[in-house]
Amino acid sequence: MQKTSGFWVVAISVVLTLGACSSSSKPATSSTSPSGSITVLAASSLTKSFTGLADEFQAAHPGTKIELSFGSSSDLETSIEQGAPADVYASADQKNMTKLVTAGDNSGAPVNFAKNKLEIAVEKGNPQHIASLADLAKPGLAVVECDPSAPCGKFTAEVLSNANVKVTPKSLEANVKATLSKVELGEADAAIVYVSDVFSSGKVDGVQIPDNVNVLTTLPIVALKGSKNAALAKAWVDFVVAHQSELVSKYGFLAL
Amino acid sequence: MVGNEPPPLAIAVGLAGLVIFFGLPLAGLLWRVPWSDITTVLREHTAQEALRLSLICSFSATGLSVLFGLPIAWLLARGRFAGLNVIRALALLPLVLPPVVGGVALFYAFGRRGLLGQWLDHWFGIRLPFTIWAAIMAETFVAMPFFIITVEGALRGLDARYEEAAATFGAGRWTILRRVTLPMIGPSIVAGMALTWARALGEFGATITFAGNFPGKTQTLPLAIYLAFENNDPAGTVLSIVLLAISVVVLVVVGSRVIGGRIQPREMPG
Repeated sequence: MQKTSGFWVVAISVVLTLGACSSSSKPATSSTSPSGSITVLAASSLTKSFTGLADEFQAAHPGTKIELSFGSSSDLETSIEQGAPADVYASADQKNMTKLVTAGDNSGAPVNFAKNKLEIAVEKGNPQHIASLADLAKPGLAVVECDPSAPCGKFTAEVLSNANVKVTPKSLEANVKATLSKVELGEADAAIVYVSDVFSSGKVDGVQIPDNVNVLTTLPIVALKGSKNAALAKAWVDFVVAHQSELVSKYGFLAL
Repeated sequence: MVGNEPPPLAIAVGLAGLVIFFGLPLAGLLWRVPWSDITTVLREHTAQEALRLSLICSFSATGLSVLFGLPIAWLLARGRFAGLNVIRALALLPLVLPPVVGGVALFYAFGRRGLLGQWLDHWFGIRLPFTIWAAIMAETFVAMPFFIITVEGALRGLDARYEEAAATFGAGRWTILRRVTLPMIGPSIVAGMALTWARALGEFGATITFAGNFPGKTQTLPLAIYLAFENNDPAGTVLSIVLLAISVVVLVVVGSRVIGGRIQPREMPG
C-alpha cells in the first residue's frame, strides 16, 4: 500500500510539474538540479521513514529515483566494502560508520541526522502485562532480540546489562525489522527494538525503558565514494539532514 | 561408439559452464579461507552446536520426506483422478516459493496465532516456532519436493509388466510394493534422499523465518554462516568450508554411485 501511494504521489506530482512547465516558457530548474537515480543502503530501523522521505524527495525533484535497500547496518557496511554499487549509506550506529570511513568508502564527512533509543515492543493491549525490562525474565515469556552482529542486538545487550536483567530470548533475529515482526505476527510476546520501530509499526504497543539504563544511538548518513551520481547523492543526504524534525514528529526518532 | 560422445563444441561449452558457475565460486571461497584459524573456529562451541543441529535437522527432514514423500510420489505417479495436476503443483510449490515466504506461510499455519497452530497451543500447549521442530519442519517443507519429483519420475519410468506379472501370481498390493516396486526404484529413492538431504542441509530462508535463530537451539550452519558474514567474521568462511566438505563427501559417495547410474535395479528373478 505504501508503494502504491508513493506511486500516486510521484505520478500526480509529475503531471503537475509537466503542467507547470508547459505554461511557462522556460524550465525553472537550474543546471545543478539532480536527476537520475541513486541507491541508498540504510539501516532496517529507517525502513518507514526513508520510504516516506524518498516519496517526498521524488515529488520535489521529478525525474529522480531513490532506490532504497534496508538491512542491518553491519550487513550493509560489509556489502559496501565488498563493492556493492551504492551511493549513500545510513547507519543505525556510529561503529559501522566508523568502519566504513576507516575503509575509505565515504565521500565527505558523515553527518548525524537523528537519535534513537530502545523500547520494549509488546502485543497490542499488553496482554502479558509487561511493565519493565525485569518482566522479560519471567519464565514462559517468548522474547526475541536482535542478533549481537546487528547494532540493535549490541545495544540490547548493553541495556540488559545496565538494568542487570538476564533474559533468555527465543531467537536472535538478523535485523531489527525481523525482530519486530515476530511480535507483530503474534509469535513473540515481547521484543527489544528502537522507539521509532514501535512508533511507526502501529501493530504493537511500547513499554518504555528508563533513560538511566537505556542506550542513546546517533544515526549518521554519508555519500559514498563509489557513487556514479554524486550530485543526487549529496542532494539526498542534504534532504534527510534538513528533514530531521519530520523524522521526529512523523516517525518517532529523537531530536539530535 | 563415437556417436555417443558429445561434439567438441558442446564439451567446450559444458566445461566453460563448469568453471564459471561451479569452479570459480568454489575457488574464491577456498582462496579466502583463513586456514590458520580453522581449528580455532571449529573448537568454538557455537560452531559445533551449529554443526550438530544441522546434521540432526537435515537427517530428520530427510526421514520425514521419505515417510510422506513416498506415498505422495506414488499417488502422483499412479493416481487416476481429476485434480492430480493441482496436487502435483501443490507438492512442488516449495521449489518455486522464496523460502522466506515459505517460513511466513509456516507461521500462518503452525505459529501460535496460526490456522492450526492456535489450536495446538490451546489444546496441547504445543508451540512450534523457535524450536528445533520448527527448523525440521522448515527444512522438510523446502526439501521434500526434491524427493517427490525424483521418485515420481522413477515410478513413471517403471515397466509395469513386472508388477502385473507379480499380480497374476497372486501377490497382494503390499507384497508387490515391497518385493517388486521398491527394489526396482531403490536407486532413485537413494538419489532422492541425497538431493533432499543436501537441500535441507543448506536451507536458510524458511528456517531463520519460522524457527528463528538461537545458538544451540535453532541456529543451523547456514544461519551461523550468514550472521558471521554480517559481522565480517572469518568464521563464516570456515563454516562454509565445513558445510561444503560434508556435502561433497555425501554427494560423491551417494550421488556418483546412484545418480551416475552405476547401481542398477536388481534383475527380477526369472
